[in-house]
Amino acid sequence: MGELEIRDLTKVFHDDGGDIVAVDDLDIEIEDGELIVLVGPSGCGKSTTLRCVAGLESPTDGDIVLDGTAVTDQKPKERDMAMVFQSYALYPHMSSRENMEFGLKMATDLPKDEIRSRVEETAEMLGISELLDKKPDELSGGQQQRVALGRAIVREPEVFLMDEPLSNLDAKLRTQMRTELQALQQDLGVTTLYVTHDQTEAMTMSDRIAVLNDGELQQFGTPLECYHEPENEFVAGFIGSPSMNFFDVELDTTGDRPALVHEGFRYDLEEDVYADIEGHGERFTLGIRPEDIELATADEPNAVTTTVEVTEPLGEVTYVYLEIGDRQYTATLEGDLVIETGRTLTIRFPQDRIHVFDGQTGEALRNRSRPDDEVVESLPGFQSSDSVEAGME
Amino acid sequence: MATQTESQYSRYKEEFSSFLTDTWIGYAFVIPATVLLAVVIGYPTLRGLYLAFFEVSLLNPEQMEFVGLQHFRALAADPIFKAALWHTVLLTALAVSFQYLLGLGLALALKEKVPGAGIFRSLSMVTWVMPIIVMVIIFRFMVQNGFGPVNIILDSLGMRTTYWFGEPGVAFPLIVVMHVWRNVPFYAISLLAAMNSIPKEQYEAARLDGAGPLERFRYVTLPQISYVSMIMIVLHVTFTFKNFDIVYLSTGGGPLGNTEVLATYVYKQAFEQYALGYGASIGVVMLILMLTFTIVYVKLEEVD
Repeated sequence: MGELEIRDLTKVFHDDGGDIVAVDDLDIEIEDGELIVLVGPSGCGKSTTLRCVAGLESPTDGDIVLDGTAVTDQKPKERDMAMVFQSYALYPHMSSRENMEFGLKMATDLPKDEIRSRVEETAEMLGISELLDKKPDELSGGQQQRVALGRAIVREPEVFLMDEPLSNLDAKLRTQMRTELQALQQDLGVTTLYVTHDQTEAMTMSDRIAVLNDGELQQFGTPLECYHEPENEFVAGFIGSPSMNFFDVELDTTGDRPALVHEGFRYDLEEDVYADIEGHGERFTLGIRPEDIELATADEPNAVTTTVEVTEPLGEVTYVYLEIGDRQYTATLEGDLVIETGRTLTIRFPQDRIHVFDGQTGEALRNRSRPDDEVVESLPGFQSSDSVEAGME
Repeated sequence: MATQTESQYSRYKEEFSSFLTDTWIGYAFVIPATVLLAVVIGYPTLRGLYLAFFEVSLLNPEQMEFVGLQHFRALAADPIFKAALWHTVLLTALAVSFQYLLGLGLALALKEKVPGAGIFRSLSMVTWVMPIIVMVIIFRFMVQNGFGPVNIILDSLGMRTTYWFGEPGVAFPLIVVMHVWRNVPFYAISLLAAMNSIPKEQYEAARLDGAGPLERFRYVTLPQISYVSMIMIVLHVTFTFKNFDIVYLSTGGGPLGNTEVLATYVYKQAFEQYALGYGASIGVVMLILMLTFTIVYVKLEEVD
């Protein structure tokens, strides 16, 4: 079993300049076998959280609970957790084999041949059998990564803790290891807490994502929940690449229909959108993902006329950077469109795709409609699927 | 055939000219140092080796008589030489062991974030920077009879006071203390630098792996400072083994030959007894022992 609970975790660092709250009252419950990604920008407290769970930092307040037992005051070695570090932290003077054996030698009283066979089994699983007698400096980054993983796996812990384990790898290897790591975690079924600043890793690997900012939990949900139904402006902006476009708008109810007014356009609202935001003041943030922006004709309602500043053709899609008001926004358009810089482009924001956030608190008042489960499941090739997410991951 | 030979020849010529142009500037840089070393070190060494087989007096160095291995046979029977050799080995072993252990302890202490550690780190180098003569004068003053601080304290405790460098059982330990006092900070700084280059993640990984403080020292710290430790130890073994000034300036080998070491004995034989050849033969023995250390050092270096 590996049910991990982080209860009201608070960590305050005392500095010369005063107190820094790294983690603020964090609550996360992780089920056995789940892969949870803690994601957020630098300094959001994700690594500190992981280190508190590992026992490398002692929390200022709150508890770490593993399978119903508070482990907060236990030493790292008593917690039955293994950690993979960003820098791998392999012992340079030991061979891969000795690195992997070290934890078993220190923490268990297993006989030597048992340790040996466990190391060899793990090495085989990771495809590093032939590297066992090499020292870390004879290994490539990817191989070191595997040895570091092996060192964690061989201990058969209840929980894996991973601190940006892929960020020292080059882009191609990172993608490959991402898939491998995910498959490995599913095979082993060990609860995993994974820290990254990379939202792609968060989206692709996790069962659930915990988005952190300034030490506070912003949202805890499945990747697609975070993508389609962000709870606030921060999550909306952090999840998804390129980032969601945000427009500062004011509500205008003087005309025929209520509308959101931006310096570059006026956006008439339909009844149901207005119902969601009514009574939340006059200032809002209108959000639309680049991939939801569509081309339109000038006479369509809510069409916005813009100037193209830069285009980035990627082949399958083209990122078009548009100027609206005085700021730059992004639209993801079809790849085979050739759009020259400087031309005028008319676009629209489909009403079922927009997000509206409270102008003061940033809280999401209206999110885009999620893809209809029935529609998705009626697609050819989708009949036997359990859920939309499983298929889309 | 002729063309082939010609092309081979031109290839050699090319190789040779590129060798010359690529490397002549390198040689140009190396030659002055090599010449200087040859004059200052190479010649005296060879001359010393040569003299060891002759009977020569400093008073009349032109007159040399070949005596073969006679000096070495005499050495084997010379009780002062044997005592000096034993003192040298003992001094080296004790001084280097204490230096290393205390230096390691000091490095571990400095590694912790003790307030004032930074200032101490700078100040502690004073002992190493200080000229040896100044250090010796300070020590001699400290144990001076009558007004030396050590004796003032001993006197106030009602204990015996004397000039301790003149006291047979005490002079040798005092010399060990001077060696240790001088070099501990240097050990500490070097070992600290080696320790600081170990990433803290390795200690964290070891903590998660279940290693306690002693095991972390044993399995993480020690193996990674072993290279620096080895260099420090081997260097100081050679420094201490051939050390002349500390002993000569403080006791001159006395009292009653109690602190006589090889270096002071060579000096006395050659420049006080004018027995150049005999002195040179002691030097040869030292050279052989030092070469042995060097070989051990080189071998150890290859292992790592």
